Parts: sequence; structure tokens; C-alpha cells
Amino acid sequence: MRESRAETEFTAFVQGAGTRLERAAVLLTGDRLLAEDLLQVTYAKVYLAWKRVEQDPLAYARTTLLHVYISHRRLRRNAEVPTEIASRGELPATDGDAARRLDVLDALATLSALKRAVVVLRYWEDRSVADTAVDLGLTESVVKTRARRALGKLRPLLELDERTPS
Amino acid sequence: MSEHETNVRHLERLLRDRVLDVHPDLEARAADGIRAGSRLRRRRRLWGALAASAGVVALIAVGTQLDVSLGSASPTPGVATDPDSATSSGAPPSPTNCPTPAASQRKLATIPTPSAGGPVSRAVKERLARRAAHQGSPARITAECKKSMRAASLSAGTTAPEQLPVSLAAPGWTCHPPGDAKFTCTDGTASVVVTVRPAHEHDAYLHDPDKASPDQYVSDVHGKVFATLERVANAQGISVDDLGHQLAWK
Repeated sequence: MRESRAETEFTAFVQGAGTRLERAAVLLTGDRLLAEDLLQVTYAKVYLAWKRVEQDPLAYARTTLLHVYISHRRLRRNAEVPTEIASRGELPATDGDAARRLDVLDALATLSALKRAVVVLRYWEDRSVADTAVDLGLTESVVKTRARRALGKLRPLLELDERTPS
Repeated sequence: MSEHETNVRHLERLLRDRVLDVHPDLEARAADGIRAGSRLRRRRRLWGALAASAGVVALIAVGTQLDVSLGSASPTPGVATDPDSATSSGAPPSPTNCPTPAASQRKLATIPTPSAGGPVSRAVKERLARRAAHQGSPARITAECKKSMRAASLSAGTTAPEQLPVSLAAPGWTCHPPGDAKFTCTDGTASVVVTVRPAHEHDAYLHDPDKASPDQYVSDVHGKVFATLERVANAQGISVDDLGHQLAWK
């Protein structure tokens, strides 16, 4: 009975927050299949710890996803070629904006795992500097520095986007 | 609006647009998560049980080794040998080897004391004194004998948990020694755990949705306690009610 209640609650949680988490995972990884894999690991850990985290499962899931992602990037650091994502052309274009969409991924892929996580948390999840620092286990000043440097690196994309008629 | 703010707004819009078409199958994701989480949990429980078993075996081995090293013949000159000590085979001593209080007194008597004129060093005297204290401690002998009797009865396939007021008397089931008011029993493949609980929790285990479960049997109250019997592993086909009715109360 306890198990089935946890299953029901967990399913409701995934239905409520799953889309948001999946989108964050896609932005972090730039690869939908990899995002699904990392989320699968994340969901397994959240379900395993459900009794402890049922008060705020989204926070636990977000932190777990970040840790899983950063661990994965560390493991694959030597083998990964970030610019490969653009050449794969695997992203479906549902509107006429494919070039710009690939540029976003291309630019994100040039960032380190931590900077990318900072960008996703700050500018997509809209988390504050303090919350981002807690999520990533960093100090606020480190988060600010990483965010500023990431923005600097993404600036060419943003300027290009400004010039591109939408 | 400053350039920084403009860049931030652009970036936010780009990120939002990028993932607008991501619509996962949430039912499938939840089902996969539950399946993977359950698998992880089973694996952790299995490793936990294995680690606990290994710990118990190691403790028994260390205890036996200690007993052998303190009680058996020593090649050191000047130290007495003990003809009644356990063998050095490494196997746990059988219950028949456990000394009775009278036998302990006999052991003490067999330890030769240094003669007045003999050249016995101070170290040897101290060692003899330590050994006499070790062998003569009734508490230690009792604990070791209980441990070896439990191990022997478990290997013989009988129900062991003699310290708890309840045991499982189902044929074909073997029970491990109890720990923290609970003990596990197995028929070779399936496992169940029997937990002795205070009587005031009885109602909660029958009616509270957090504690009551169709997967567990709840006994009647016996004195100040009652027992629950739950499935642990590979016990889906086992009827906990049938098994629970075979709990024997002392």
C-alpha cells in the first residue's frame, strides 16, 4: 500500500514537472536521447528517495539532474567534441527558424558543463543567483562570474540573433 | 535597457524557443523511473543483506580466532598449554564444546602456576593472569556459547530466534538469529521478516494507511507485544497470512 501510494505520487510529480525537467535536460545536453538517459537516472534516484524528498521533489530532481549531467560530462570530457552537435543536424525544425535554433545549441555546446548549467538555471529556469549557487554547490560570486563569462562567450550568437529578422 | 539586460532577454527568448517542441511521454517516463528505482532499491537491499551476512561471518571468525589464539597451545616457552581448548580448525565451536561453570573452574585449575623457584618472567606472569581472567569470565563464556549455539542451530535448519517471544514454526523455513527485535526467515528462495513491536502500535498496523499493508500479516497482541510478518524478497507467491498463523509464541 505504501509502495502504491509512492508510485501514485511519483507519477503525479512526473506529470507535473516532467516537461520542465526534460526541457532543462535537453538544454544541458543538447541531445534529446542523452537528455532522456540522464532523466531516467534522475527519476530512478528521485523515486528511490521519495520518502525523504516528497516535500519538495522538484528541487531534489533538479539538483540530481545537474549532478548526473556534470558527472556524465566529466566522464566523457576527453572524448567529447562539442561542435559535433551542429554537424549532426538531428534537431527537428518545426518552424522556419532552424538555423537560429542550431546556433543556440552550437553556442551552448562551447561552454563548460558548469557554465552551461549556470546559463540554464539562471536564464531558462529563471533561478536567482543565490538559488543557483545552492543548486550547484557554488558561492554566489562564482555563479555571477560564470554567468558573466558565459554571456560573453554567447554574445556573438546574441548579436547575430538581433540582426536576424524573426 | 542596458546592453547586458538586452543580451539576457535575447538569451532567455532563444532558450525558451529552443525547447518549445519538447513534449515527453510523461506516463512512460514515470513508469520507467519507477521500474528503474525499484530495481536500484532491490539491488541495494541485496547488497545490504550480503554485507550484513559477511559482517556476521567475519565477527564469528574473529571470535573463534581469538578464542583459539588465547586458549590453544602456544609455542612460547614458559606458557602453559590448555588440553581442553578448542581446536584450531577455524570452524565455530559446537555447543557441546561450551564449558559448563564447573568445567571453567577445572580449566582454571589446569593452568599451572609458576613455581616459587622457577625462572618465570614478569611478562609470562601477566600473560598467565590475563588468560586466567579470560577463561574464567562467565559472561564471556555464556555469550560465546549462545553465539555458537545459534550458528549451529541455524546450520541444522531449526528455528533460532530464542531471545524473542515469537518464532516461526513453519516446516521448511529457516530463521536467522534476531537483531533489533526482528529476524528474517527463508525457505531457500523466498524471504520474510518477522518484527516484534510494542502493543500500543497494534491499531496503527491494522488501520493506519502509512503502516497497514496487504503485504504484511499482523498478529494478535501477546502480552505487551505483537508481531508483523512481511515479504522481503522473492516472496510474491507466499501467503503472509498462512505463514503468519504459524508464528509460535513462547
